[in-house]
Amino acid sequence: MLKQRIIATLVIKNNIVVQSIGFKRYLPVGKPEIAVEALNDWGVDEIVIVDIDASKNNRVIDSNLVKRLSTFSQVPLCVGGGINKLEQIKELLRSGADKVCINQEFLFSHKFITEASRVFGVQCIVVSLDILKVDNEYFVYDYVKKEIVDKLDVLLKKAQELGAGEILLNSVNNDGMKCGYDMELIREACFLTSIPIIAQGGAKNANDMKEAIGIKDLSAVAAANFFHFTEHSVTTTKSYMKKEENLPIRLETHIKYEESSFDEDIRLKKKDDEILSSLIFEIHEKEVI
Amino acid sequence: MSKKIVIVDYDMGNTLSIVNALKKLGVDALVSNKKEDIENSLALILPGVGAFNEAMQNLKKYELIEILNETVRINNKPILGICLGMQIMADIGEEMGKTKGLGWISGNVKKIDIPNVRIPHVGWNSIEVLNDSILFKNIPSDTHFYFDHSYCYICDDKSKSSQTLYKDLITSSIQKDNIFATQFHPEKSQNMGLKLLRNFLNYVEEQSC
Repeated sequence: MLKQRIIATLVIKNNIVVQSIGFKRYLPVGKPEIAVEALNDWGVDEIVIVDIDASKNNRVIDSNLVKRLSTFSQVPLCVGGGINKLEQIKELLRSGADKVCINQEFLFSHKFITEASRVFGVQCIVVSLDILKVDNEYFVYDYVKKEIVDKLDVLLKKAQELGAGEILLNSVNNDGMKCGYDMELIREACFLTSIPIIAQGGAKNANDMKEAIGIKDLSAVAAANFFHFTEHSVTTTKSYMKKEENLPIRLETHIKYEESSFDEDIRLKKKDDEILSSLIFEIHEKEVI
Repeated sequence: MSKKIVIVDYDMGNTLSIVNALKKLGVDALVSNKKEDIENSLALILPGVGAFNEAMQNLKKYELIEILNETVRINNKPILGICLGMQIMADIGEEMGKTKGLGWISGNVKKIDIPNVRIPHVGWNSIEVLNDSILFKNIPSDTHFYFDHSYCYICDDKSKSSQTLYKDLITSSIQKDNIFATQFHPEKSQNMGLKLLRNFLNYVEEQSC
């Protein structure tokens, strides 16, 4: 059966990866090339790369950056940032992107989404919606103008109607807050639309992801900040999720952490000294393809 | 000048990913839509992302249909089709009205018609290997590959080299003599995808001796 995906999002500002907090503060993390390579090694299912300054500055995400990053990635890349012309999509797809992510332009021009999905195929077009919760209701938020646009259900249904292939659902309230995913938002969105949904915003550790993936209707969970701060973060997250509840995710890396256990913060516990000393004599040959 | 693997460029799809994947396997492929390059190729790769009718239109625009038919059906050069590249090998595609395909492996391409599943079929799904294909040598059933499509290939079981389950069965790869094709993206399926590409390259090497 189709597995649910664990996706890493790289938020790019000035060509470096940053940690985003509440869509307001940005702290530097490092070079995107290194992040992409590491995430690939750790068995991530897909990578989203977003240039958050592009729209503001009336430019599009740099296709040369995408070209460089695609040499490090053997998983699909979804790229976004200021995309508002068909030629830009064509250039980005030629530069190694598999899908494009459209946020601002969806708010301005519904026609663009329809044209883009007609020319490049529905499966290439991801519409990204930033969601703000106000008085227990969900609204789509414009992060450039810093204002509410319309209700979640109106724009979600619209996106599907216009030809979006997937929805990337960002919780503005939970972004960078390490409070877990907005489960109510995820359930509501899954109910309102029949296209695949990727949830993002608030992941603190593997437990939060496990909780969100527990919503069977959700196609994928994405996290930006979370994956940057632990070694093998994707692998340990997947291993935890498989161990705890045998969730339908893909775990095919050479290292699976099958015999490992986790502490309350879902960090790997040290193996017993006996096991560690027996490991000294194990040979693991690198696989040559 | 030694013969090369040629990735057919007809403005549909992500040729760079395939170039990168082959580079990782030590192969320097050529991206081209020139008749001479296709004629003199060692083998072909037919990528494709987008719509069926547009793909066929572009093949006509670049005058590739005849040379592809000659190279693949008459000169029997190995070819690997990927995603839409697999779909256009069908007789008819039903995306945006009925469009004639290359007709290499009998079948039709229709919208995925499985109740209660989200379309497109996107993400990692495991395949079941059928009919002993060289493409899946050392690749066990239950291996995951990356899919991203809304239309699927309907054909006889004998043409299928693997299938995948998305509440109901979907053809994940087809094969006939020198013609191979996958619905999924091996160039985007990490190590197992690279293994599949290596199997294709090994087959190509054997054929050229």
